[in-house]
Amino acid sequence: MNILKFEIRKNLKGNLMWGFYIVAFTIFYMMFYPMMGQDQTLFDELMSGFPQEFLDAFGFSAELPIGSILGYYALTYSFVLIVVGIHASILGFGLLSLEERELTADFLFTRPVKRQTIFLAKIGSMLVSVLIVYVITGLGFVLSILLFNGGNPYSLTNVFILQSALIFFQLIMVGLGMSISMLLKKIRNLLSLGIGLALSLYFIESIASMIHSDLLAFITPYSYFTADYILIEGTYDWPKFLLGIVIIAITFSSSYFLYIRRNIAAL
Amino acid sequence: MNVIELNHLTKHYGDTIGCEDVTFAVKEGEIFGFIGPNGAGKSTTIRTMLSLIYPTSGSVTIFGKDAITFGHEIRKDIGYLPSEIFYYDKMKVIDLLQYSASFYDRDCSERIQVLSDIMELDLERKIQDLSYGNKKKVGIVQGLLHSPKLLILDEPTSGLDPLMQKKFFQLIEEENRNGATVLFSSHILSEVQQLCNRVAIIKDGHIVSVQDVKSLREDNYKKFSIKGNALIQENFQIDGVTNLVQTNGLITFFYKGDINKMIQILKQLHLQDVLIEEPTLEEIFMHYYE
Repeated sequence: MNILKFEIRKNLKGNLMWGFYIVAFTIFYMMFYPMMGQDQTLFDELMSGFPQEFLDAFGFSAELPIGSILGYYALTYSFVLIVVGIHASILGFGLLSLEERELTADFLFTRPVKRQTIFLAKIGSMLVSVLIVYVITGLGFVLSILLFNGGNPYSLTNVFILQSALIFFQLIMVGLGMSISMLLKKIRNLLSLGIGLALSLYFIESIASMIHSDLLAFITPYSYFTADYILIEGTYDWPKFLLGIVIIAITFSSSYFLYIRRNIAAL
Repeated sequence: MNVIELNHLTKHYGDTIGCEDVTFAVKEGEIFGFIGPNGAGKSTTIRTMLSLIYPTSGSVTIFGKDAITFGHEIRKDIGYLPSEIFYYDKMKVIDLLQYSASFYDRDCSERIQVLSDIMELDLERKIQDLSYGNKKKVGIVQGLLHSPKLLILDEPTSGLDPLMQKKFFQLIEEENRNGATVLFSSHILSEVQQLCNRVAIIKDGHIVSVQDVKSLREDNYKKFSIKGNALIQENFQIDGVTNLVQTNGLITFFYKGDINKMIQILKQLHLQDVLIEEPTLEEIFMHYYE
């Protein structure tokens, strides 16, 4: 319990900052919707002038026009997803490698606790971090839809379904970062690794939707929970969702086994 | 009773050998020295005892229990001082010590106070503002605050000034008098000489010898320095003589064996001066390292 408390306290400020920036970012984007919503048809016409590949890459779809509040929300969501992905991936890379990066491993691992206990405490503190960002992000979106819908009709049901998927996305990113960090000897630059992983997966997702490649789409978690699919269908993209669950299971369990057998090298 | 038992302990890092076939035992209540040059495998051996790393083969038993399987139980009674001290930088010293204390099911606050008074440690400062020597002091207090039965010290004196070093040794000796067993790793022989009863010597990952510190010095080698005109080096080449060096009128060598034989040889010579002395541990160990 003391490790859990220590870790949560250590990360609390950082998580709240991330949450704050994400909400500020969300509100900043959503604020512009009322202006656009007034000239919905004009705006949709403007968008149709762009090449289809461009629209696909950014996740615009005809069924969910950007002029509608949910269309605009979907677009904002896909941008916010990049930021949430960066947070989760940095969190994943940093979680188990913290002691080795800050050279405090000799301290923590010579306490009278099992590695298993340390792992569980770290997973606990990670869940708290993920939940903080998850809840703050969700509140930010619902709030901005309520505030900036410009009087256009919308249904919140699908918004809730989409927001509920976010936590699975976060856990996949954490799991990927965590298991990669356990395969590496030493994590030198946490930020560049975290941002690198999140952005390259996002980039793959852009290409996947541009060339309509299902294969590529299966590689990147950004496409497991795409806003337009869930907002239009009102349900998860089940095959991809299940794949996501499998990835979480594999990355978390492999991280566990690598962590408890890890040799902590001398400094 | 043996507090530590190492049984054919071997650790390979890929192709590199960390330590190989290391076997020795540390008895309850002794201060045991662990000596070797840098990179000989001291830290590898010690880190296996703490299950920071896992052995390739062989086993470590501490307090009669396997150090890997029962690591978390064993570590309740181990105090460890690593050679390089790093702590969570942003914490205050007192917060770190209390965090450390929270892992043990006893009240350590009084010990923290006593120990930091002895080591003259300011508890209110942030760790990142501390000098290397002061961080070391935090390490010492942290390693001792739960009154461990076994102290594992990995090159503990680097960074301490002579005064603090003396206080530290007194502290270790007091812990030892109160029943703590001590494993003291070092590459500085004089400090091992000062503290330890027995010593294991490690070189290139292998244990070269386990000996009494006293017998190591008294029973083995004598260092001879002989001055005279027309000395012939060959005169001294008998069994037991090593490191025979002649420079002008001076011959020096180490001798291990029947002292009367050497006196017989000296008797026949015309000498200006002779000096027979105990070699320093450094000089003894050079044999193992060469």
